[in-house]
Amino acid sequence: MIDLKLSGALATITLQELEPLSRHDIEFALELRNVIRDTADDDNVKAIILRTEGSDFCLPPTASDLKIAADSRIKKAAAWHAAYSASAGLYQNMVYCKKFILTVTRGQCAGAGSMLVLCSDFTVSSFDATFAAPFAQYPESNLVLAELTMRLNRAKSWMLGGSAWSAEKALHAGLINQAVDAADLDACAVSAAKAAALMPLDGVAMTKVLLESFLDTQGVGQDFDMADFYASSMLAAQTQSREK
Amino acid sequence: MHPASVRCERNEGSQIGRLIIARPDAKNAILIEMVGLLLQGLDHFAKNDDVKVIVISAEGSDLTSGFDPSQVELIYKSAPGGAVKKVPSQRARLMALNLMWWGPDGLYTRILHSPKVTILAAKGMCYEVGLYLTLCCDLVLADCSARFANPRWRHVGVDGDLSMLVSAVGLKRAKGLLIFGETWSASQAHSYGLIDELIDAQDLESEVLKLATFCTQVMRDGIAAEKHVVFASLAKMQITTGFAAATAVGAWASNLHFRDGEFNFLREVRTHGLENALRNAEFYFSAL
Repeated sequence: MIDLKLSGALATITLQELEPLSRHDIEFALELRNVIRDTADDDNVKAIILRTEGSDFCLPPTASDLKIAADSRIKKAAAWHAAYSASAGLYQNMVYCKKFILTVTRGQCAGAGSMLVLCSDFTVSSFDATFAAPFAQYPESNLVLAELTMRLNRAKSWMLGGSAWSAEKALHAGLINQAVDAADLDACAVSAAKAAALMPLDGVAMTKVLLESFLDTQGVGQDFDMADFYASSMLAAQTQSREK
Repeated sequence: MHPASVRCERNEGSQIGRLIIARPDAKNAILIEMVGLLLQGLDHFAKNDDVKVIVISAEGSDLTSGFDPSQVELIYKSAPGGAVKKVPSQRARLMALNLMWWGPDGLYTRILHSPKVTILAAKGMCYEVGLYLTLCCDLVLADCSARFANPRWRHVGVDGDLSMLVSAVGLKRAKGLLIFGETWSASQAHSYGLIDELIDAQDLESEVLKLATFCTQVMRDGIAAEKHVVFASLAKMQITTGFAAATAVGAWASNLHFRDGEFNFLREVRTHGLENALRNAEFYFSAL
Protein backbone atom coordinates (compact mmCIF):
# COMPACT_ATOMS: atom_id res chain seq x y z
CA MET A 1 0.00 0.00 0.00
CA ILE A 2 2.93 2.32 0.70
CA ASP A 3 5.76 2.17 -1.81
CA LEU A 4 9.19 3.62 -1.07
CA LYS A 5 11.80 4.29 -3.74
CA LEU A 6 15.26 5.68 -3.07
CA SER A 7 17.34 7.48 -5.67
CA GLY A 8 20.45 9.23 -4.44
CA ALA A 9 19.46 11.88 -1.93
CA LEU A 10 15.78 11.64 -2.89
CA ALA A 11 13.15 9.29 -1.48
CA THR A 12 9.74 8.97 -3.08
CA ILE A 13 6.85 7.63 -1.03
CA THR A 14 3.87 6.65 -3.15
CA LEU A 15 0.51 5.73 -1.64
CA GLN A 16 -2.32 4.08 -3.51
CA GLU A 17 -4.78 6.18 -1.57
CA LEU A 18 -4.89 8.57 1.37
CA GLU A 19 -8.57 8.19 2.22
CA PRO A 20 -7.92 5.73 5.11
CA LEU A 21 -6.04 8.56 6.81
CA SER A 22 -9.21 10.66 6.62
CA ARG A 23 -11.15 7.75 8.16
CA HIS A 24 -8.75 7.83 11.10
CA ASP A 25 -7.40 4.40 10.31
CA ILE A 26 -4.81 4.32 13.07
CA GLU A 27 -2.83 1.41 11.62
CA PHE A 28 -2.51 3.27 8.33
CA ALA A 29 -1.43 6.50 10.04
CA LEU A 30 1.23 4.66 12.01
CA GLU A 31 2.45 2.84 8.94
CA LEU A 32 2.86 6.11 7.04
CA ARG A 33 4.45 7.74 10.10
CA ASN A 34 6.95 4.89 10.34
CA VAL A 35 7.91 5.06 6.67
CA ILE A 36 8.46 8.84 6.87
CA ARG A 37 10.38 8.59 10.15
CA ASP A 38 12.60 5.72 8.99
CA THR A 39 13.26 7.36 5.63
CA ALA A 40 14.20 10.60 7.37
CA ASP A 41 16.62 8.63 9.54
CA ASP A 42 18.46 7.44 6.43
CA ASP A 43 21.64 9.51 6.22
CA ASN A 44 21.67 9.28 2.44
CA VAL A 45 18.27 10.95 2.09
CA LYS A 46 17.86 14.73 2.07
CA ALA A 47 14.43 15.20 0.50
CA ILE A 48 11.26 13.09 0.61
CA ILE A 49 8.57 13.31 -2.05
CA LEU A 50 5.10 12.25 -0.93
CA ARG A 51 2.63 11.45 -3.70
CA THR A 52 -0.38 9.29 -4.47
CA GLU A 53 -1.38 7.13 -7.40
CA GLY A 54 -4.50 7.97 -9.32
CA SER A 55 -6.18 11.18 -10.33
CA ASP A 56 -6.85 12.59 -6.85
CA PHE A 57 -4.50 13.26 -3.97
CA CYS A 58 -7.16 12.65 -1.32
CA LEU A 59 -10.90 12.63 -1.95
CA PRO A 60 -13.24 14.53 0.38
CA PRO A 61 -14.56 12.32 3.16
CA THR A 62 -18.07 10.91 2.73
CA ALA A 63 -20.62 10.98 5.57
CA SER A 64 -19.72 7.36 6.21
CA ASP A 65 -16.01 8.21 6.36
CA LEU A 66 -16.68 10.96 8.88
CA LYS A 67 -18.75 8.61 11.06
CA ILE A 68 -15.99 6.00 11.01
CA ALA A 69 -13.44 8.70 11.85
CA ALA A 70 -15.52 10.02 14.75
CA ASP A 71 -16.02 6.48 16.11
CA SER A 72 -12.29 5.88 15.91
CA ARG A 73 -11.58 9.07 17.87
CA ILE A 74 -14.13 8.15 20.54
CA LYS A 75 -13.33 4.48 20.95
CA LYS A 76 -9.56 4.72 20.57
CA ALA A 77 -8.94 8.27 21.75
CA ALA A 78 -5.43 7.73 23.10
CA ALA A 79 -4.31 5.70 20.08
CA TRP A 80 -5.81 8.29 17.70
CA HIS A 81 -3.97 11.10 19.47
CA ALA A 82 -0.72 9.14 19.48
CA ALA A 83 -0.96 8.26 15.79
CA TYR A 84 -2.04 11.66 14.46
CA SER A 85 -1.25 14.68 16.61
CA ALA A 86 1.15 13.65 19.40
CA SER A 87 4.80 14.64 19.18
CA ALA A 88 5.60 11.18 17.82
CA GLY A 89 2.48 11.13 15.61
CA LEU A 90 2.26 11.43 11.86
CA TYR A 91 1.74 15.16 11.52
CA GLN A 92 4.41 16.33 13.94
CA ASN A 93 6.78 13.79 12.37
CA MET A 94 6.22 15.62 9.10
CA VAL A 95 6.33 19.18 10.41
CA TYR A 96 9.47 18.52 12.44
CA CYS A 97 11.02 16.02 10.04
CA LYS A 98 14.82 16.14 9.82
CA LYS A 99 14.61 16.14 6.04
CA PHE A 100 12.68 18.22 3.52
CA ILE A 101 9.24 16.90 2.57
CA LEU A 102 7.49 17.76 -0.69
CA THR A 103 3.87 16.90 -1.45
CA VAL A 104 2.67 16.34 -5.02
CA THR A 105 -1.02 17.00 -5.48
CA ARG A 106 -3.46 16.51 -8.30
CA GLY A 107 -7.24 16.38 -8.52
CA GLN A 108 -9.07 16.72 -5.24
CA CYS A 109 -7.19 17.34 -2.03
CA ALA A 110 -9.29 17.23 1.13
CA GLY A 111 -9.41 15.85 4.66
CA ALA A 112 -6.11 14.34 5.76
CA GLY A 113 -4.64 15.19 2.35
CA SER A 114 -4.97 18.90 3.12
CA MET A 115 -3.21 18.34 6.44
CA LEU A 116 -0.32 16.61 4.64
CA VAL A 117 -0.05 19.64 2.38
CA LEU A 118 0.06 21.96 5.38
CA CYS A 119 2.65 19.80 7.14
CA SER A 120 4.99 19.53 4.16
CA ASP A 121 7.76 21.98 3.29
CA PHE A 122 6.86 22.43 -0.37
CA THR A 123 3.89 21.54 -2.55
CA VAL A 124 3.85 21.10 -6.30
CA SER A 125 0.36 20.83 -7.72
CA SER A 126 -1.30 20.31 -11.07
CA PHE A 127 -3.54 23.10 -12.33
CA ASP A 128 -6.61 20.90 -11.92
CA ALA A 129 -6.13 20.42 -8.18
CA THR A 130 -8.56 21.72 -5.57
CA PHE A 131 -7.92 22.16 -1.87
CA ALA A 132 -10.61 21.79 0.79
CA ALA A 133 -10.03 23.02 4.33
CA PRO A 134 -9.87 20.23 6.92
CA PHE A 135 -10.68 22.25 10.04
CA ALA A 136 -14.43 21.67 10.38
CA GLN A 137 -14.12 17.90 10.27
CA TYR A 138 -10.70 17.06 11.68
CA PRO A 139 -9.77 18.18 15.19
CA GLU A 140 -6.09 17.45 14.57
CA SER A 141 -6.02 20.16 11.88
CA ASN A 142 -3.55 22.85 12.80
CA LEU A 143 -4.85 26.36 12.27
CA VAL A 144 -1.60 27.93 13.53
CA LEU A 145 0.23 26.18 10.72
CA ALA A 146 -2.33 27.47 8.24
CA GLU A 147 -1.99 31.01 9.62
CA LEU A 148 1.79 30.87 9.30
CA THR A 149 1.48 29.46 5.81
CA MET A 150 -1.06 31.90 4.40
CA ARG A 151 -1.47 34.61 7.07
CA LEU A 152 -4.53 34.85 9.29
CA ASN A 153 -7.02 36.42 6.89
CA ARG A 154 -6.48 33.79 4.21
CA ALA A 155 -6.42 30.92 6.69
CA LYS A 156 -9.80 32.09 8.01
CA SER A 157 -11.12 32.51 4.50
CA TRP A 158 -10.09 28.93 3.69
CA MET A 159 -11.53 27.61 6.94
CA LEU A 160 -14.83 29.46 6.84
CA GLY A 161 -15.33 29.97 3.11
CA GLY A 162 -16.97 26.60 2.65
CA SER A 163 -15.70 25.79 -0.82
CA ALA A 164 -12.54 24.14 -2.00
CA TRP A 165 -9.86 26.41 -3.46
CA SER A 166 -8.57 26.04 -6.99
CA ALA A 167 -4.84 25.50 -7.49
CA GLU A 168 -4.59 29.07 -8.73
CA LYS A 169 -6.18 30.41 -5.57
CA ALA A 170 -4.05 28.15 -3.38
CA LEU A 171 -0.94 29.37 -5.18
CA HIS A 172 -1.97 32.99 -4.75
CA ALA A 173 -2.60 32.40 -1.05
CA GLY A 174 0.71 30.63 -0.51
CA LEU A 175 -0.78 27.25 0.40
CA ILE A 176 1.14 25.64 -2.47
CA ASN A 177 4.43 26.60 -4.10
CA GLN A 178 3.99 25.67 -7.76
CA ALA A 179 1.08 24.94 -10.11
CA VAL A 180 2.07 23.11 -13.28
CA ASP A 181 0.59 20.98 -16.07
CA ALA A 182 -0.35 17.51 -14.86
CA ALA A 183 2.09 15.98 -17.33
CA ASP A 184 4.98 17.90 -15.73
CA LEU A 185 3.95 17.35 -12.13
CA ASP A 186 6.32 14.60 -11.05
CA ALA A 187 9.27 16.03 -12.97
CA CYS A 188 8.77 19.44 -11.33
CA ALA A 189 8.63 17.84 -7.89
CA VAL A 190 11.84 15.90 -8.54
CA SER A 191 13.52 19.04 -9.82
CA ALA A 192 12.58 20.99 -6.67
CA ALA A 193 13.69 18.11 -4.45
CA LYS A 194 17.03 17.90 -6.25
CA ALA A 195 17.53 21.63 -5.78
CA ALA A 196 16.96 21.26 -2.05
CA ALA A 197 19.24 18.22 -1.89
CA LEU A 198 22.23 20.24 -3.09
CA MET A 199 22.45 21.61 0.43
CA PRO A 200 24.98 19.74 2.61
CA LEU A 201 23.43 17.21 4.98
CA ASP A 202 24.58 19.19 8.03
CA GLY A 203 22.90 22.22 6.50
CA VAL A 204 19.67 20.27 6.01
CA ALA A 205 19.69 19.26 9.67
CA MET A 206 20.50 22.78 10.82
CA THR A 207 17.76 24.26 8.64
CA LYS A 208 15.18 21.92 10.06
CA VAL A 209 16.28 22.58 13.66
CA LEU A 210 15.99 26.32 13.07
CA LEU A 211 12.55 25.87 11.53
CA GLU A 212 11.51 23.69 14.45
CA SER A 213 12.52 26.33 16.98
CA PHE A 214 10.64 28.96 14.97
CA LEU A 215 7.47 26.84 14.72
CA ASP A 216 7.63 26.12 18.45
CA THR A 217 7.79 29.80 19.33
CA GLN A 218 4.76 30.34 17.11
CA GLY A 219 2.66 27.69 18.88
CA VAL A 220 2.43 24.98 16.22
CA GLY A 221 3.19 22.22 18.72
CA GLN A 222 0.71 23.66 21.20
CA ASP A 223 -2.03 23.60 18.60
CA PHE A 224 -1.35 19.91 17.94
CA ASP A 225 -1.55 19.36 21.71
CA MET A 226 -5.01 20.92 21.64
CA ALA A 227 -6.35 18.25 19.25
CA ASP A 228 -7.99 16.28 22.08
CA PHE A 229 -9.75 19.40 23.30
CA TYR A 230 -10.95 20.23 19.79
CA ALA A 231 -12.18 16.64 19.40
CA SER A 232 -14.20 16.93 22.62
CA SER A 233 -15.65 20.25 21.50
CA MET A 234 -16.56 18.77 18.13
CA LEU A 235 -18.27 15.82 19.79
CA ALA A 236 -20.21 18.11 22.14
CA ALA A 237 -21.36 20.25 19.22
CA GLN A 238 -22.53 17.16 17.30
CA THR A 239 -24.38 15.84 20.35
CA GLN A 240 -26.15 19.18 20.88
CA SER A 241 -27.04 19.29 17.22
CA ARG A 242 -28.64 15.83 17.40
CA GLU A 243 -30.59 16.75 20.58
CA LYS A 244 -32.12 19.77 18.83
CA MET B 1 39.88 50.27 4.68
CA HIS B 2 37.38 51.31 2.02
CA PRO B 3 36.38 54.76 3.33
CA ALA B 4 34.16 55.56 0.37
CA SER B 5 32.28 52.25 0.28
CA VAL B 6 29.39 53.61 2.35
CA ARG B 7 28.50 57.27 2.15
CA CYS B 8 26.57 59.01 4.88
CA GLU B 9 24.92 62.13 3.47
CA ARG B 10 22.45 64.76 4.49
CA ASN B 11 21.74 68.09 2.88
CA GLU B 12 21.86 70.96 5.30
CA GLY B 13 18.46 71.48 6.86
CA SER B 14 17.08 68.27 5.40
CA GLN B 15 15.12 65.85 7.57
CA ILE B 16 16.27 62.96 5.39
CA GLY B 17 19.55 61.16 6.07
CA ARG B 18 21.01 58.96 3.35
CA LEU B 19 23.21 55.89 3.62
CA ILE B 20 24.56 54.94 0.20
CA ILE B 21 26.30 51.64 -0.42
CA ALA B 22 29.01 52.62 -2.87
CA ARG B 23 31.04 49.70 -4.10
CA PRO B 24 29.40 49.21 -7.49
CA ASP B 25 32.44 47.64 -9.15
CA ALA B 26 32.10 44.72 -6.74
CA LYS B 27 28.29 44.49 -7.06
CA ASN B 28 28.19 46.34 -3.75
CA ALA B 29 29.40 43.27 -1.87
CA ILE B 30 29.47 44.18 1.79
CA LEU B 31 32.83 44.26 3.57
CA ILE B 32 33.32 44.15 7.35
CA GLU B 33 34.31 47.84 7.31
CA MET B 34 31.11 48.70 5.46
CA VAL B 35 29.01 47.16 8.20
CA GLY B 36 30.84 49.44 10.62
CA LEU B 37 30.18 52.45 8.42
CA LEU B 38 26.50 51.60 8.09
CA LEU B 39 26.27 51.27 11.87
CA GLN B 40 28.03 54.61 12.36
CA GLY B 41 25.65 56.25 9.91
CA LEU B 42 22.58 54.77 11.57
CA ASP B 43 23.87 55.91 14.95
CA HIS B 44 24.66 59.39 13.66
CA PHE B 45 21.19 59.89 12.21
CA ALA B 46 19.43 58.25 15.16
CA LYS B 47 20.97 60.80 17.53
CA ASN B 48 20.06 63.75 15.34
CA ASP B 49 16.64 65.07 16.28
CA ASP B 50 16.39 66.92 12.97
CA VAL B 51 16.43 63.67 11.01
CA LYS B 52 13.11 61.88 10.60
CA VAL B 53 13.82 59.47 7.77
CA ILE B 54 16.84 57.35 6.80
CA VAL B 55 17.05 56.22 3.17
CA ILE B 56 19.32 53.28 2.35
CA SER B 57 20.28 52.97 -1.31
CA ALA B 58 23.16 51.93 -3.51
CA GLU B 59 25.28 53.14 -6.38
CA GLY B 60 25.30 51.11 -9.58
CA SER B 61 22.86 48.48 -10.72
CA ASP B 62 22.68 46.29 -7.58
CA LEU B 63 21.70 46.93 -3.99
CA THR B 64 24.21 44.29 -2.88
CA SER B 65 25.32 40.79 -3.85
CA GLY B 66 25.65 40.05 -0.13
CA PHE B 67 28.54 39.77 2.27
CA ASP B 68 31.85 39.73 0.41
CA PRO B 69 32.93 36.08 0.12
CA SER B 70 36.60 37.08 0.44
CA GLN B 71 35.93 37.96 4.08
CA VAL B 72 33.88 34.94 5.08
CA GLU B 73 36.61 33.62 7.37
CA LEU B 74 38.01 37.00 8.28
CA ILE B 75 34.96 38.01 10.31
CA TYR B 76 35.95 35.53 13.02
CA LYS B 77 39.62 36.52 13.17
CA SER B 78 39.24 39.64 15.26
CA ALA B 79 36.92 38.05 17.84
CA PRO B 80 38.34 36.36 20.98
CA GLY B 81 39.76 32.97 20.04
CA GLY B 82 39.40 33.77 16.37
CA ALA B 83 42.99 34.64 15.52
CA VAL B 84 44.20 31.07 15.23
CA LYS B 85 45.71 29.29 12.28
CA LYS B 86 42.98 26.87 11.35
CA VAL B 87 39.66 26.63 13.17
CA PRO B 88 38.34 29.73 14.95
CA SER B 89 36.75 29.05 18.34
CA GLN B 90 33.00 28.70 18.72
CA ARG B 91 32.96 31.80 20.94
CA ALA B 92 34.65 33.78 18.15
CA ARG B 93 31.97 32.67 15.73
CA LEU B 94 29.15 33.52 18.13
CA MET B 95 30.61 36.88 19.05
CA ALA B 96 31.34 37.91 15.47
CA LEU B 97 27.81 37.12 14.28
CA ASN B 98 26.31 38.79 17.32
CA LEU B 99 28.36 41.96 16.90
CA MET B 100 27.94 42.29 13.15
CA TRP B 101 24.40 41.22 12.49
CA TRP B 102 22.02 39.88 15.11
CA GLY B 103 23.02 41.18 18.56
CA PRO B 104 21.73 44.40 20.14
CA ASP B 105 24.42 46.41 18.30
CA GLY B 106 24.34 44.37 15.11
CA LEU B 107 23.30 45.86 11.77
CA TYR B 108 19.95 44.13 11.45
CA THR B 109 18.85 44.87 15.00
CA ARG B 110 19.88 48.50 14.64
CA ILE B 111 17.90 48.97 11.43
CA LEU B 112 14.90 47.10 12.75
CA HIS B 113 14.95 49.18 15.93
CA SER B 114 15.87 52.49 14.36
CA PRO B 115 13.91 55.35 15.93
CA LYS B 116 13.65 56.92 12.47
CA VAL B 117 11.56 55.80 9.50
CA THR B 118 13.81 53.61 7.33
CA ILE B 119 13.25 53.37 3.56
CA LEU B 120 15.14 51.02 1.25
CA ALA B 121 15.65 51.54 -2.49
CA ALA B 122 16.05 47.99 -3.83
CA LYS B 123 17.40 47.16 -7.29
CA GLY B 124 19.35 44.47 -9.07
CA MET B 125 20.79 41.87 -6.75
CA CYS B 126 19.28 42.13 -3.28
CA TYR B 127 21.00 39.04 -1.97
CA GLU B 128 21.79 37.89 1.57
CA VAL B 129 22.51 41.20 3.39
CA GLY B 130 20.25 42.81 0.80
CA LEU B 131 17.43 40.43 1.65
CA TYR B 132 17.77 41.25 5.34
CA LEU B 133 17.88 45.00 4.61
CA THR B 134 14.62 44.46 2.74
CA LEU B 135 13.10 42.70 5.75
CA CYS B 136 14.41 45.14 8.36
CA CYS B 137 13.56 48.47 6.73
CA ASP B 138 10.12 49.96 7.37
CA LEU B 139 9.34 50.67 3.72
CA VAL B 140 10.81 49.10 0.60
CA LEU B 141 10.55 50.47 -2.91
CA ALA B 142 12.07 48.35 -5.65
CA ASP B 143 12.58 48.74 -9.34
CA CYS B 144 11.83 46.01 -11.87
CA SER B 145 15.43 44.78 -11.92
CA ALA B 146 15.37 43.78 -8.23
CA ARG B 147 15.96 40.11 -7.40
CA PHE B 148 15.79 38.62 -3.93
CA ALA B 149 17.59 35.52 -2.68
CA ASN B 150 20.16 34.22 -0.25
CA PRO B 151 22.50 31.94 -2.22
CA ARG B 152 24.60 31.29 0.89
CA TRP B 153 21.79 29.17 2.35
CA ARG B 154 22.39 26.60 -0.38
CA HIS B 155 26.02 26.33 0.70
CA VAL B 156 25.59 25.96 4.44
CA GLY B 157 21.90 25.56 5.20
CA VAL B 158 19.55 28.15 6.56
CA ASP B 159 20.73 30.50 9.28
CA GLY B 160 19.62 33.96 10.29
CA ASP B 161 16.20 35.04 11.46
CA LEU B 162 13.22 33.29 9.91
CA SER B 163 10.44 35.08 11.71
CA MET B 164 10.56 38.29 9.66
CA LEU B 165 10.55 36.46 6.34
CA VAL B 166 7.70 34.16 7.34
CA SER B 167 5.71 37.12 8.70
CA ALA B 168 6.22 38.97 5.44
CA VAL B 169 5.46 36.26 2.88
CA GLY B 170 4.10 33.18 4.69
CA LEU B 171 5.76 29.94 5.74
CA LYS B 172 5.62 27.92 2.57
CA ARG B 173 6.73 30.72 0.28
CA ALA B 174 9.52 31.47 2.71
CA LYS B 175 10.63 27.85 2.44
CA GLY B 176 10.87 28.24 -1.33
CA LEU B 177 13.52 30.88 -0.73
CA LEU B 178 15.09 29.21 2.30
CA ILE B 179 15.36 25.62 1.13
CA PHE B 180 14.60 25.28 -2.55
CA GLY B 181 17.04 27.84 -3.92
CA GLU B 182 14.45 30.18 -5.39
CA THR B 183 15.30 33.68 -6.55
CA TRP B 184 12.34 36.03 -6.59
CA SER B 185 11.83 38.67 -9.23
CA ALA B 186 10.65 42.11 -8.21
CA SER B 187 7.09 41.32 -9.29
CA GLN B 188 7.08 38.06 -7.30
CA ALA B 189 8.44 39.90 -4.26
CA HIS B 190 5.74 42.49 -4.68
CA SER B 191 2.90 40.00 -5.00
CA TYR B 192 4.21 38.03 -1.99
CA GLY B 193 4.36 41.16 0.18
CA LEU B 194 8.13 41.34 0.57
CA ILE B 195 8.29 44.85 -0.93
CA ASP B 196 5.81 47.68 -0.75
CA GLU B 197 5.96 49.20 -4.21
CA LEU B 198 7.28 48.33 -7.61
CA ILE B 199 8.67 51.32 -9.49
CA ASP B 200 10.01 51.89 -13.00
CA ALA B 201 13.81 51.85 -12.88
CA GLN B 202 14.22 55.44 -13.98
CA ASP B 203 11.82 56.63 -11.27
CA LEU B 204 13.21 54.73 -8.27
CA GLU B 205 15.35 57.54 -6.86
CA SER B 206 12.67 60.18 -7.28
CA GLU B 207 9.90 57.98 -5.86
CA VAL B 208 12.01 57.10 -2.83
CA LEU B 209 12.72 60.77 -2.25
CA LYS B 210 9.03 61.58 -2.66
CA LEU B 211 8.07 58.93 -0.10
CA ALA B 212 10.80 60.07 2.29
CA THR B 213 9.64 63.66 1.99
CA PHE B 214 6.06 62.57 2.63
CA CYS B 215 7.19 60.75 5.79
CA THR B 216 8.96 63.87 7.05
CA GLN B 217 5.56 65.58 7.26
CA VAL B 218 4.71 63.36 10.24
CA MET B 219 5.47 64.97 13.61
CA ARG B 220 8.61 63.72 15.37
CA ASP B 221 6.56 62.53 18.35
CA GLY B 222 4.23 60.74 15.95
CA ILE B 223 7.11 58.90 14.31
CA ALA B 224 8.57 57.97 17.70
CA ALA B 225 5.19 56.72 18.92
CA GLU B 226 4.56 54.66 15.80
CA LYS B 227 8.02 53.16 15.84
CA HIS B 228 7.64 52.11 19.46
CA VAL B 229 4.33 50.43 18.67
CA VAL B 230 6.21 48.54 15.95
CA PHE B 231 8.93 47.55 18.46
CA ALA B 232 6.25 46.17 20.79
CA SER B 233 4.77 44.17 17.92
CA LEU B 234 8.19 42.81 16.96
CA ALA B 235 8.66 41.55 20.52
CA LYS B 236 5.22 39.93 20.49
CA MET B 237 6.05 38.28 17.17
CA GLN B 238 9.12 36.67 18.76
CA ILE B 239 11.50 38.49 16.42
CA THR B 240 13.95 38.90 19.32
CA THR B 241 13.89 35.15 19.85
CA GLY B 242 14.50 34.71 16.15
CA PHE B 243 17.54 36.98 16.27
CA ALA B 244 18.99 35.08 19.25
CA ALA B 245 18.52 31.79 17.41
CA ALA B 246 20.08 33.37 14.32
CA THR B 247 23.35 33.97 16.14
CA ALA B 248 23.49 30.45 17.56
CA VAL B 249 22.57 28.68 14.34
CA GLY B 250 24.79 30.96 12.27
CA ALA B 251 27.75 29.90 14.41
CA TRP B 252 26.92 26.23 13.81
CA ALA B 253 26.63 26.92 10.09
CA SER B 254 30.20 28.16 10.04
CA ASN B 255 31.31 24.82 11.47
CA LEU B 256 29.79 22.24 9.12
CA HIS B 257 31.07 18.85 8.10
CA PHE B 258 30.83 18.32 4.34
CA ARG B 259 30.38 14.84 2.94
CA ASP B 260 31.81 13.53 -0.30
CA GLY B 261 30.17 15.22 -3.27
CA GLU B 262 28.91 18.20 -1.28
CA PHE B 263 30.15 21.64 -2.23
CA ASN B 264 32.54 23.13 0.33
CA PHE B 265 33.07 26.74 -0.66
CA LEU B 266 35.93 27.47 1.72
CA ARG B 267 37.82 24.37 0.63
CA GLU B 268 37.30 25.46 -2.99
CA VAL B 269 38.70 28.89 -2.15
CA ARG B 270 41.75 27.37 -0.48
CA THR B 271 42.32 24.97 -3.37
CA HIS B 272 41.37 26.98 -6.44
CA GLY B 273 41.20 30.62 -5.35
CA LEU B 274 38.17 32.85 -4.84
CA GLU B 275 37.24 33.50 -8.48
CA ASN B 276 37.31 29.82 -9.41
CA ALA B 277 35.42 28.90 -6.24
CA LEU B 278 32.63 31.33 -7.14
CA ARG B 279 32.50 29.94 -10.67
CA ASN B 280 32.46 26.36 -9.42
CA ALA B 281 29.69 27.22 -6.96
CA GLU B 282 27.57 28.68 -9.72
CA PHE B 283 28.07 25.57 -11.81
CA TYR B 284 27.37 23.18 -8.91
CA PHE B 285 24.16 24.87 -7.81
CA SER B 286 22.76 25.35 -11.30
CA ALA B 287 23.47 21.81 -12.54
CA LEU B 288 20.41 19.69 -11.95
